[in-house]
Amino acid sequence: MLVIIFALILAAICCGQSLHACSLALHDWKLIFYRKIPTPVSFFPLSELDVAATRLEQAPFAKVFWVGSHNFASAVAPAFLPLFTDKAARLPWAAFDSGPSLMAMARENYCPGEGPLIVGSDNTYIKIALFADQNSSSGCMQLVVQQTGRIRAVHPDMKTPWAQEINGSSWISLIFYQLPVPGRILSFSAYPVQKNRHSIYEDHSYVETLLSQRILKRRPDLVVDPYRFDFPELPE
Amino acid sequence: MRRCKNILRLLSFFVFAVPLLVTGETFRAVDFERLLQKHPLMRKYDPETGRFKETKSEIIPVEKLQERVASISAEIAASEREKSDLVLRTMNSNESAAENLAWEKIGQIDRRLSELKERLKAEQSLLEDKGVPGYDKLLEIAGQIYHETVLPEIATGCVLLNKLPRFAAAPPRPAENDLRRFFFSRKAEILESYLTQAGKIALMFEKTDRPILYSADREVSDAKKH
Repeated sequence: MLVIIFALILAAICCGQSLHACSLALHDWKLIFYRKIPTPVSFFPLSELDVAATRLEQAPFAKVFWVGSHNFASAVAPAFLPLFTDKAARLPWAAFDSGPSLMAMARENYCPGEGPLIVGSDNTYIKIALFADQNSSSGCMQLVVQQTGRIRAVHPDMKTPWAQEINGSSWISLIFYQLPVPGRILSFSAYPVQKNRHSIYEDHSYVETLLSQRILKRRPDLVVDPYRFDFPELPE
Repeated sequence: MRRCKNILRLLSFFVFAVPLLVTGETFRAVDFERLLQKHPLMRKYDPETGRFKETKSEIIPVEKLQERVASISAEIAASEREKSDLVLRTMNSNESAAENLAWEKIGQIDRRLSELKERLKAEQSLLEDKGVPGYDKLLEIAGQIYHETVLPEIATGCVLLNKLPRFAAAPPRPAENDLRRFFFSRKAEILESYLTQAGKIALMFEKTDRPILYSADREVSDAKKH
């Protein structure tokens, strides 16, 4: 089931036309529901892909070893990566179960030629949050599913050995009016896709209708950067 | 012609004020230009460049920016080398304690690198613009001045009137060349000097030419509409 959902999201991300995000309405998001669930590994390696893509800009590698406590969903997730346009997504990704340390794996692969990039994910959580827009008397809502975790990467490059540790974060966001059903959806977006928030779907005419009915509050020009329209930071 | 305009402006003041009095709304009248000039940041305003000194809006010489970019790039290269050496040492070591320590150190270097790269990006972007920060930086400061100037004034009332709206076509020179000075001195050269200023203040504080600065049923959020 999860795989199907990811496949659908991925297909939408990859096939959907890049849109200008909803910059018309001014929201005042209030958190009304929040759950943080620990998971053994990232369900989908969007942040890991971001790390690999950034490293590939600096030094070449031939494949990616993704290390973590994998489950079925995470084990098959790399199969969908070639749908992305990043060069790193087109490289072979192999899922490895956590065992020896990343540095030990790097040592084993420290040899001439283009070695692998070893990426490890742990301390992973799924955060589910529902926000209500105070500017629309809680009529407009945003559902966020965020995946956070520690990402460590090692590149046993002969020329310049490299490692990095970051707190990875990736999410999908669905903004809707009253109900998350077709016809009531304002926007659907994902992050990070090529390091940015990617708007998969937007219904500008619906937003305009809600604005003209004064259900949504119009965003004043120049007050807020129209390309900053994310949700408030989720609690730890 | 100009006199007619002034009379019309005066009339417009009453057109706004009288209905407000009739409806019982409380209002206050302030000299917006004077208030603006009292703000500490306005002392840093440079009329020559139209920017605020020692702020993000200040124009930086290209040579200075080039020096900064070179210095930050060197720092980034040094940090990358340090990290690379550390990774190599850790890979060659078999101790898990050393590995944990190495990750901690890598994290520190990464945070430093991230900060340096952010700074480099900002400096390079400014260098591309020949050291002239974007108009948004100027607006940010203008917005701050406006809010800090007007918000305390509207705390007690719901309508704030501008006693001396700026001439729409010509902005004042801050500190010395405001419209009030002309009314006191009645010297033509003061008015001429006032009128010859480029539209720098007008760009930042559009509301200086409007009789009503704030009304409770309107919003005070649009920086451009100052």
